Amino acid sequence: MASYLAIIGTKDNPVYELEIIPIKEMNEDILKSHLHQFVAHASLDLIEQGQWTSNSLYLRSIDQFHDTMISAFLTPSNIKFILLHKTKNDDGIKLFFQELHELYIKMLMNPFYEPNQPIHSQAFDLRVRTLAKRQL
Amino acid sequence: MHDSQSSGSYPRTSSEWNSFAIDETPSYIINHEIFPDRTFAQLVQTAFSPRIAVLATYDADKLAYHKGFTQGFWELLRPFGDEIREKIVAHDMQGSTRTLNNFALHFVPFDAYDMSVRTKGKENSFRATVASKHPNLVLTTPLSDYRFGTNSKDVEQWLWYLAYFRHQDISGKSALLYTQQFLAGQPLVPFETFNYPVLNLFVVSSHNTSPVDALRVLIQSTKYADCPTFLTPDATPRYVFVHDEDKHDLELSIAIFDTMKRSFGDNGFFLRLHSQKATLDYESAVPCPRPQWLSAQEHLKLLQASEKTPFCIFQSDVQAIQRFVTNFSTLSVIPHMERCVKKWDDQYASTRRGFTGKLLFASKKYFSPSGSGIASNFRHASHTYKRNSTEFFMRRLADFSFMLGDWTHAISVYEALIRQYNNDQAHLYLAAAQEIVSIARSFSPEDRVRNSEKSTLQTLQTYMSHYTRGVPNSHFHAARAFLLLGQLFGSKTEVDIDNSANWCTSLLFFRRLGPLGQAIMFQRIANLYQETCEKAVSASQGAVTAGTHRSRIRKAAFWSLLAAEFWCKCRLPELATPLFSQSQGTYDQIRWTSINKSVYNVSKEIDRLQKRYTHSDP
Repeated sequence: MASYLAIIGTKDNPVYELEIIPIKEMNEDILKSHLHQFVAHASLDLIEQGQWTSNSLYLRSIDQFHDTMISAFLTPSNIKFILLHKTKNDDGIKLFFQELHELYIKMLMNPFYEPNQPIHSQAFDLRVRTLAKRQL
Repeated sequence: MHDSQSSGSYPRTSSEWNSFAIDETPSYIINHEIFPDRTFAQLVQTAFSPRIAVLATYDADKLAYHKGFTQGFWELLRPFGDEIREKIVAHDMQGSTRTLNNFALHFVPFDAYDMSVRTKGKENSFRATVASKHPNLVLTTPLSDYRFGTNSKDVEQWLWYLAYFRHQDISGKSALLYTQQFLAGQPLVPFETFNYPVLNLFVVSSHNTSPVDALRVLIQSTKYADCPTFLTPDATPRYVFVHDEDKHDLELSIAIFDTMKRSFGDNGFFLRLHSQKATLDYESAVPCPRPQWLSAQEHLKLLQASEKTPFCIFQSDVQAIQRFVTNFSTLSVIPHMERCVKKWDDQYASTRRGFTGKLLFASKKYFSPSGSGIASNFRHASHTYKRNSTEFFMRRLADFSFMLGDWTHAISVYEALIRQYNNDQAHLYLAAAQEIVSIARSFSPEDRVRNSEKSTLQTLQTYMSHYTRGVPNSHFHAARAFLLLGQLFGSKTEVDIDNSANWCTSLLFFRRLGPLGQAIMFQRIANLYQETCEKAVSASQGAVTAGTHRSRIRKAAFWSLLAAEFWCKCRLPELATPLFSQSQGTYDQIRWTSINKSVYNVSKEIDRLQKRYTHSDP
């Protein structure tokens, strides 16, 4: 199932991006994939609006762009995890976000990593990919 | 951002640009006020106004022709139906009165409903048959070439010219103008009855040797017309007796008119016109008003004609015709429609409404042997209802209520119809009825049932698919529904605008509208978001309260960028530039490589187009 994950920092800067395209769907939707960044960025407005009303960190599905749904998760340090996906999978996505949050916290504990900077670690990348394959 | 998929007839290469026939702005575009300021609600209400079919005798057409109206007497009446100045009062089902603010009459030549030239050939056409039986009654060939329906390519081309020459003026109104062109050219279809004539208007002038007989024969001659099967040509007749001020005696004409009233009843009107052609030399000549509901093809023809002298008409003629139209509306059209509404409501709709109606309907559905009901009037092969079936009358009843402004009654009848259409699987009818119901709901003040927005969006999308995916489909109606409902989603709250934006994203994936239409809709969304940002900024300057600061800066930037890119595709960089600078303000502040790259590409495209197509305003 095609999806796009973005971790966005406090100044709207991308910390981490990941396109998840299963092999079967490799040929479809490639044209519009560059829109994903714009869509994710635009949905930040709705995160900012929704964060005051929601009690939990997981903000569920906050926006929709044609047939793509956008779910978001907000960390206490104002880092946003945004997932663009086509199929509805609330539980899977909630677990995914929670485990992603833990991975992110481990990343933060690395003294060489400054918060809000892009994540280049390959280990992190690999772990996120396996997590995505498992949960999504 | 996107691969160039330009279509349509905008100049694409520089050689095409150089051979562009218009070197300077055509006088027609400079001299005339494009369109009056109107809100969307007013536009829709005026668009769905009663159609009056006009049939004139030979002498009346000639009179109009000599005055300069080459398409006959119909063309003389046409501009004056657009806006009726006086107060129009209508009564609704309960007897209470209501002022109609946006009432208009669309005059249509009778020949537009008649297909005999195409089906039977010129020799046996309606006019030829009548002329053979009664020589000199009507012209053998129709003067007007008015046709229902419009080609979306023409709409795009016309709007493109407008955008190119007057882009400062139309930037705020482009969505309305685009919608108006769609509404001006609605085709004649079985599943929507707004285009059917409410009344037939017969015109006789004092030049006729025996006006009373001519009128009688004219009224009877409509039976020779070959109308489409779903349309009955015998709408109730009304007549006009035109008195030529310059040539004939007023007292004689009044006497003839009295004879007419005695023979045909009080449904007549007396109109005094000058037969002399007005030019600017005369003191009381004024430029003739231009009809507001010209279709795109007619606009394009005018563009190419580029007349030098303005077309004039006498002031007294203007007042006489305006008075006639007002009287006609208040004394004929509105009472007739109210009577029809009462009659049809008693006959057809009251059985279907309410609890008894649902019970009747349910019993028919469950106890009938076949699934489609015992006596369904729907013919699957031609996808039409029988001509005088209950559904036909109920649809007309609902339309009349709509035109008279009785929203609650109209909505109730439409809903009964929707149940019937659903049962009969008449998906085009179903889609048309649902579209009108949404529009009527938005106008009616009591019925603002705000169902959850998501479900509304989904239902709307399902019946958009009815328009396009059914076996007989109508892309015109799908485009029109798209435009109307997209703008209906109002601009009050952010949620509405979000829904509106979501509605328009389907434009990226389905080719509902042409490139210009896409650009216009995206620009509209961008402007809506921009307004909310500005409102939020001004609100926050007063008092800052956490949780109420709502703005859509990023969304505004995204949609501005999309709109700018689509304007570039239409080769209109002047319209793209302000939008682009709006989005640039936001996107320059973030450091996101792929986004910054895309933004840079768009800016390069705009610069390239501006250098290539340098265009100096006259």
